[in-house]
Amino acid sequence: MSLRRFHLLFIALSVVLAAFFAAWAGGQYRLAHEMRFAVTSLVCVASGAALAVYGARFQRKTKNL
Amino acid sequence: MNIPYTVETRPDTGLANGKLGIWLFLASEVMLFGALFSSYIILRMGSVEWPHGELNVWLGAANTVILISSSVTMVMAWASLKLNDHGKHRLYLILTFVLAAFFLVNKYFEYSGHLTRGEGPWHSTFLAIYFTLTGLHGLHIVGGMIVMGYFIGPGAKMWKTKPEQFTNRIEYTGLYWHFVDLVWIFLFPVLYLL
Repeated sequence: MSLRRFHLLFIALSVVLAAFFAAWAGGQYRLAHEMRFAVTSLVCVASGAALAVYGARFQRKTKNL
Repeated sequence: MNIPYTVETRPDTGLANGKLGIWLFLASEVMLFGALFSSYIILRMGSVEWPHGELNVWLGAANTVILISSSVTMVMAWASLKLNDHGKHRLYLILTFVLAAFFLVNKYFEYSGHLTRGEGPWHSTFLAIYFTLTGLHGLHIVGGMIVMGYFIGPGAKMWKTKPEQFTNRIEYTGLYWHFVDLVWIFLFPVLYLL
C-alpha cells in the first residue's frame, strides 16, 4: 500500500473517530448539561465534515502522484 | 556496491525492497500493539469495576488534533518531493517534527499531572495499562522524530545525488508516521472516552 492510500485510510478512520467523539460529547451533554460538551460535539461534527472534504480533495488532487 | 531494487519495484514482490521492509516492520508493530490492546481488553473484561474520567479528555483531544495535522504535513512533505519541490518538502517535514514535539510536551504535562498526584503505573491496573500503552506509543513518536531529524539534517543531501531514493525513504518514513498516528486514533477513544 502506498503512502497516498494509507493516508486516505487514516483520514477515513479520523472521520469515524470525529463522529464517535461527537456522539460521546453529546452523551455527556445530556448527562451533565454542561455547555462545553455541546460545543465539543458541534466542533467534532464540523471537524469530521472538514476531514471528509479534505480526503475527497486529496484523493482527486493526488491521483497522478 | 549498489543494492538492486532500491528504487524500482521488484518483479516478484511488486514492491521496492524498502517498501516491503517497512511493511514487514509495521506488521511486527501491529502484533506488538495488538498484544497490548488484547491485554487491555482482558484486564477490563476481568475487572469488576473500571475507572472512568481519570484522564484529561481535553489534553487527549488536543493530541489527537496534533497527530492528525502531522499526518497531513507528512503526506505533503512526500507529495512536495514527487512534485520536485525540495523547499516545500523541508518546510512540511519541519512542521511535522514540530507537531510531534508539541505532542510530547502535551504528554509530559499529562504524565507529570498524574505523577505529582501519586497516580503512577503502580496506582491501579488502569493506570498501569495507560502508562504502558501511551509510553510505548510515545517512544514510537521519539523514534519518528529521530528519523525526521535525520532527513531534515544530514540525510537531506541525498536529494541532490539520488532524488528518487530519497523520495522513497520519505514515503517509508510517512508510512511509519501514519502507523504511529493510527495507533493513537485507537488509543484515544479506548483510554480516554470508553
